[in-house]
Amino acid sequence: MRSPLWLAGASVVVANAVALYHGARNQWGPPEAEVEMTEREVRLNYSGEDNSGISLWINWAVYGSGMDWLDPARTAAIGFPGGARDWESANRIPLRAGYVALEYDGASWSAWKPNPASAATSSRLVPVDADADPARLRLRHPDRGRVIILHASFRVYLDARNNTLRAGIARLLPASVSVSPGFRGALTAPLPAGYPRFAVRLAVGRDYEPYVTGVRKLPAAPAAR
Amino acid sequence: MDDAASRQEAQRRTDRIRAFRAELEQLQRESALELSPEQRDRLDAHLDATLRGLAARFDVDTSEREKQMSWGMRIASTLGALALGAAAVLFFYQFWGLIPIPAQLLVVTAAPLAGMAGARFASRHETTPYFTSLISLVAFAAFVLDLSVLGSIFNLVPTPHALLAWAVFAFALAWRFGLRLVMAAGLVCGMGWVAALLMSFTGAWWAEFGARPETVLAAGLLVLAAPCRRDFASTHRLTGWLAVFLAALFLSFSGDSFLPLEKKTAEKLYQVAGMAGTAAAIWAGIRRQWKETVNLTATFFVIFLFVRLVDWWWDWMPKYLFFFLAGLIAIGLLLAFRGLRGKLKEARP
Repeated sequence: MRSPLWLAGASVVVANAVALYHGARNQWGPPEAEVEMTEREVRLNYSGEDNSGISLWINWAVYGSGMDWLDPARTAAIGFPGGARDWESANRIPLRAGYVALEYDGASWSAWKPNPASAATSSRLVPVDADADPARLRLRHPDRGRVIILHASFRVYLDARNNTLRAGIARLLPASVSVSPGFRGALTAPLPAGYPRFAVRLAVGRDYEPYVTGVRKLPAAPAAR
Repeated sequence: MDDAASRQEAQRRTDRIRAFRAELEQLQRESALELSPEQRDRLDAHLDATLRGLAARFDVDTSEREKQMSWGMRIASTLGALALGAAAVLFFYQFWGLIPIPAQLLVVTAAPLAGMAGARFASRHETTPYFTSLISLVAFAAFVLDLSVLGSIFNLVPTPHALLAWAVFAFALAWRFGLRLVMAAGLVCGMGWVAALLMSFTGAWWAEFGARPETVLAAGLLVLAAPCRRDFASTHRLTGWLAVFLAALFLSFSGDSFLPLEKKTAEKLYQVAGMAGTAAAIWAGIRRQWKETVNLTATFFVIFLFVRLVDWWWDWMPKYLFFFLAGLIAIGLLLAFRGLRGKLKEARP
């Protein structure tokens, strides 16, 4: 029996249509959240000479008391089972997918008292909450100009202080954001001296997937922004 | 019967004719069979006409030298496909940042479709599958690139369903043109998709299926149980057993099982299951004359056995004694296989 060749063609057409629809739906209408960040929070990925595409790595950071807010209750809300009572069994629990709220230049950043050098260069994008349901996260963090919600994978570990399971962020999904060719010029032309050198408007669509809506060069200045 | 299956049958018949002629020569030299010159001429004319017909229609190998050349062409076709696939991917990445997104989308979507059309053209204009195989593999690589690029452009969260799309594409090409390597690529993607789905059913992130090798083991068993066309049966068995025993091997080290067992207990379970499973697969392979199954599972049996021996004895035993015992075990296996071979001979009518 011969398989019809159109099945191969159909798999290409259907897969492309689904991906295009998903991408278009995410960016359709006003963004779910939009924040302008600088190079401190979105860094250029080194792509080498063999790749002309440009992507930005979302550089989030944890300060002070770390992610103590990701307590056993929130860990359970992400969906992790609560049974593990030793390091080995906790370590064997596979990663889970969920959502993380990242606050830009907010209270979590301000509460940390960095030394002047760190204050001028460190990322101000700080994870402040996590959940399996992005709508619940948005209810808790309604400021769409400061808090973005993204997909993330979470790992779990045993907190030796009180023998409880606690989640931690394994990585953002996706961890990098592609820059469309329309914004390429601002990032490939000679950038000013100092740091940070550019600012990026990062939007998050209705499916909580990020995209770049603007790039601008910052005037050369060594001071922190 | 389709072209690929017919070609394999034609090659088998050609091989039988060659073996028949060699044996006929031997029998005549030993005076065990004597044909009159007329009979011999008639037989030779018939066999020559049959070989010419098979060679003209299916381009079969009619001599040992041609067979060796065909192997060379098969290897060259595979290496060529890998090189051209890599070239296409690298060429695209070299320039994609410089072209607008609609053009990027057009290029990556058209590439696998063009490859598909190219494979169809090649299959119509050649009797051997080498160019068709090469172009099909490049088309498969182009489709992998296509969905990866779409994911990058739109910053999509990775999905396991891309594996399903790649599997369907590879299956359709493989079935249409009778290409085993493309079928193997499709089976690997299909197993990845099944394992990822099983993992996501547990609530975990789908890409974590490697952390629970039982998902891969289940996907491998599914491939072994799935019905398939006769000329793809060995490809199914190879990829299925490979997945099953690789998963069992990892489980015998890591103990990362879904079963409600202690890690050490799970490791021991899969150590025993791995040995017993490979031994059973060797037995089944010999009984059913599945050459590729016997070779693959015998390799895994030896790996399972020696990993265990190292684990049990390496640390506390003098090295010379370890290797001496390993040698004795190898001799024991040799005797066991000889006994098995003898029994098979007795059982043969």
